Amino acid sequence: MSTKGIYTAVSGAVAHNAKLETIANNIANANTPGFKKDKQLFREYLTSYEKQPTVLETPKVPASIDSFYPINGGDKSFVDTDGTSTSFEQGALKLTGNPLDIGIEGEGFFEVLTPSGVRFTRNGHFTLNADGVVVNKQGHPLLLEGVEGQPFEERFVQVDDQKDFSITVKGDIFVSGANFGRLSLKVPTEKDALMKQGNSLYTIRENFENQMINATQARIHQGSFEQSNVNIVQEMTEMINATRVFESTQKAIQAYDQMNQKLTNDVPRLR
Amino acid sequence: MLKALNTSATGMQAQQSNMEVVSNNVANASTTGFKKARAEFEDLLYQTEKAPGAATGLNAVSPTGVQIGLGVKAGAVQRDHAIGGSKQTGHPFDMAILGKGFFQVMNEDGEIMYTRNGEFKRNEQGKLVDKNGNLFYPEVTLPTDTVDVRVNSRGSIELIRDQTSKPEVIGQVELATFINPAGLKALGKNNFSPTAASGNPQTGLPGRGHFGAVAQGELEGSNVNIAEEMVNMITSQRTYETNAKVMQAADQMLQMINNLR
Repeated sequence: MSTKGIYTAVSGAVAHNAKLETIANNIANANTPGFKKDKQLFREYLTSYEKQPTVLETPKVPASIDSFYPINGGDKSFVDTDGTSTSFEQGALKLTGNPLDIGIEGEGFFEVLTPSGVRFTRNGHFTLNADGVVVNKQGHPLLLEGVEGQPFEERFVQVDDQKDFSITVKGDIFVSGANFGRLSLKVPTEKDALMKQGNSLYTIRENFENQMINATQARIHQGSFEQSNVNIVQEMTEMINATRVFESTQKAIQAYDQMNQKLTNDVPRLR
Repeated sequence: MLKALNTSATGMQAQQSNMEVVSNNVANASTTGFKKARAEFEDLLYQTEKAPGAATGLNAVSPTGVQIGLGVKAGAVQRDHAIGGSKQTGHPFDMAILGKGFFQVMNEDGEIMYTRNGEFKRNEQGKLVDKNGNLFYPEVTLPTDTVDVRVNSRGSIELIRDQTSKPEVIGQVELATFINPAGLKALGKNNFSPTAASGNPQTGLPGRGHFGAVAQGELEGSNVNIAEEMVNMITSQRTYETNAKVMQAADQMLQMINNLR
């Protein structure tokens, strides 16, 4: 039965389903501060990958019946979701005037201390907790630059009155006029080292530890926060694209179905 | 497919709560001592469909993995305690705080509440109360033969009985501050109560240290900026619309699947 290609069409439908899901998440987070959009990447998946690699015989004579050789499934391919890549493009900075809104222009991530370790974020909405420590919206403290092994408590930003709290463009913090330290801004040496964790936090992937170095190209804007870098026009266009490709794969599945119908109903009658 | 439907639903829900916050701000644009709020969003969990480094074939591994986000939620509603503009009323019991601090009022259960609304009145016993009858704290009682009351910038409440006698101090305004005023719980009617996030109140006298001075005959307006709220409203509404479109697209795709046979 001619079902060989139907799964190729199905793989296209599954892949574009994943693409639409990613687009839906981007659009849902269009107003999330510091959100970075994702892109679903596809690749061709040859069924020959599933077989042991063998040396393919190369035809040595002009095209004849001898020049046909086993192709080990290389004639058939699927589309596969290859990976989600996050675009770390700059989002627009929005001015609020709130001293605890901190926007990063350029590269770099804030370091916050969560119960499960240090995490990274671009979400610039901070607040004070009851002890006067600058924390993010989940209550995780923002960290200053520090050395290896230094207790995290020494790297908290202690502010008693947010009116006396200012940050320079370089990230130096002044509390009541006295220099308090520099905001820790980290950047991964390898772009893929960061993985989204939800709650606007990023974590380091396995095998990518010690990849975070101090950011040198960052400019801090106190009283502003970074908006998401989602471009609605682009996402809507991608969405139209994804739904139409999805529709086409459905047509291909239907075509295979019709062929199978002929095969099961009409061909036996030809006898 | 249901994932995309749910994701767009979370987007619509988040924009709806944003719209609710904006509409409350706009509704209170001329409420004395009102502090504007804003909804803040966070992305939800990511579902790992293919782990980074997972084998995708005999000799191939996925370099980044496939992670699909599941939407957005309103993470916090942050209140902005910036000072609003002050307006002159000339009423002797109207007070505005020029700087940090909250007035303290006591409800009938004896609990202290904190407010920036300085519109006070006299009740039938001559006690200073707010509009809802909560007692001004520390309590001040005004005798019936009061001619005029003066509150100086340091918060000292002075009574003038007649034109010839010297002013007589009958009370003192005491203000409270919090380490994190954004952590206060709004009780409605312009009142706030402390929480674990705001820290305990620290009381002090107006015009001293970081406490703001008191201005008699003035009221603090709300700190809502209408233009800003309108912009927020437009973005919120449009984002809602886009999320609805995604929902439609996901629905159409589901429909196509159902029409396959």
